[in-house]
Amino acid sequence: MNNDRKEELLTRWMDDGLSEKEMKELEPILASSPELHEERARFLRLRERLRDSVPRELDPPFPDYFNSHLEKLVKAENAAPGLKEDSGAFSAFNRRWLWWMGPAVTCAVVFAFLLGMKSAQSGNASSGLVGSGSNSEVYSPLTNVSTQVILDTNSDSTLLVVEGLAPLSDSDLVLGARSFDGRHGYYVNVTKTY
Amino acid sequence: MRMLALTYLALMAVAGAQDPGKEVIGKVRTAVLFGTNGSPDSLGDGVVALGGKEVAKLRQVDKLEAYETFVKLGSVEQDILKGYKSWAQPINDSQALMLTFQPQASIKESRKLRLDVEYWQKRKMTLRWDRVFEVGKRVYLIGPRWRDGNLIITVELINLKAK
Repeated sequence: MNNDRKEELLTRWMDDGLSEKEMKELEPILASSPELHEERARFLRLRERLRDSVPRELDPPFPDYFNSHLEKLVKAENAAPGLKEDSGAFSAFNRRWLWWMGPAVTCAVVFAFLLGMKSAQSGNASSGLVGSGSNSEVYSPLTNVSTQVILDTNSDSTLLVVEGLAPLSDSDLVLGARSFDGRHGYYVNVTKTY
Repeated sequence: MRMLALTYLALMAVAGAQDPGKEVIGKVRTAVLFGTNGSPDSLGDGVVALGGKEVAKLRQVDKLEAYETFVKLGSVEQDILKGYKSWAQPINDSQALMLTFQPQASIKESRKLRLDVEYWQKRKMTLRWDRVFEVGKRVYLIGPRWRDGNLIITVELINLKAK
């Protein structure tokens, strides 16, 4: 049996995914390496603990935002050159790795997202540092709204061009003979709002 | 009765002082600009004409290139509170355009603050922007059409309190 086949069978055995015939094929390997049983038992215990601590289904606090962000990442990944599937043993290894690690990575992404939302809602402004090169995120719940960010290096300012906004009517802005300067004073305690 | 009122006010002051979320961590200036080919006289006495550099910058945007006149309709300066979402209404008596600011994280040494900015148009949350703002660097949101021109909303972090 070649190494690729051995690895595939072992991976599926860990996850109770072998047929009877495949199990028989794997038996000589298990007999020669009894420590694999202990390895599998450890993996199953870890899986059970993860299942107990992470709910099977959990809606993110802002599902539309979550979905749009996910969609954007998927599109970016599909559009990125050089990520096309390679042929050969490396590709087969990648597929197995994804199959094996996929659920764990998904759990980690969802958990990190929820953790992020929780810390964002805590209102603790000094809780973390942000890198100066970190990207900004623009989101609109309106499907017809699109945006384009223009960085003006001359004046070191940023322009966000928003397309698809409904025009305002004449009466929407109240302009009189006096100063139009606005007012402030609306503050909402975010720890109580959410 | 007067004693009761004084006691109530004192209690409220103590309660306010104990809320760490009310700590002012910076200040943001929000303004509404207007690009038009019409006469600014029709907008009343309260408008302020923009300087040549700012006009040139705005006219670089395709959507604004055709406009000859740019004015400021109104602006407001608003404290950013550590644990509160702050609402700004840059034009007096007009709730059709409003913005909210919610601090996420600050980088004191480089005078930057990450803010969640929401743009609300006619009481509907229209855009959310999570962005690092730097003191003194203005951000322009090229917004909706109005009358014969286009509205532009600017956001600028004008100070960031040192801890």
